[in-house]
Amino acid sequence: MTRKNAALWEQGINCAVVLSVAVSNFPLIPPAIRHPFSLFFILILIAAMFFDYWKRASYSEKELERERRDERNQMIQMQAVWYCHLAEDWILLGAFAVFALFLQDDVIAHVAMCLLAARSLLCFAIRWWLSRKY
Amino acid sequence: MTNRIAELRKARKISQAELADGVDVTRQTIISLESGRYNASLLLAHKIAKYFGLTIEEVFLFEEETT
Repeated sequence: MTRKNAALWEQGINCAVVLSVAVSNFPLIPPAIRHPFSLFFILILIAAMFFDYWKRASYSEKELERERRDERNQMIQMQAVWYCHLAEDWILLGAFAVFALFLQDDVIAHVAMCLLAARSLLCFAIRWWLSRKY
Repeated sequence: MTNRIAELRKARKISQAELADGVDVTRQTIISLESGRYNASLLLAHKIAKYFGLTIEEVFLFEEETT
């Protein structure tokens, strides 16, 4: 029997773990707000461990491997990565505009611009390498 | 591109899960193929056609694009 997509839920739990770690350690958020997130972080970790246990108990290794190999799942993942890449470009461009034009913070603005340039160059280089490979 | 997967599967009284097991994909992929939301790769098209004992052209119907 095939159940709902375990790989998708696994990624969702991973995102929640990363988000709670980032928020609970973000220096710009006041400690009074940050501390409840530490509790949230612990709860997320417990949920992640429970999910991992549940996954191992209810899915066979063959089913999990099939989900990873499934071509539709892989296509969805590649499209998600591509949309994420586009969104990150706009976020970095937006950060550059906000910090350079409105907050007058040239250092952060240039860090955002350098990250954008590095990402674009890396993407171009990987695309060039893949076009040679295939 | 349209396909006859649902029609062939029902005629042979095969469930979506059984077909998914037979061609080594998830049931969600079979659902998407049947509803036309996803087009199979050549490899998957070949596996599905082989599963039904037919050729790819008999399962997948290619429509030429008119420009």
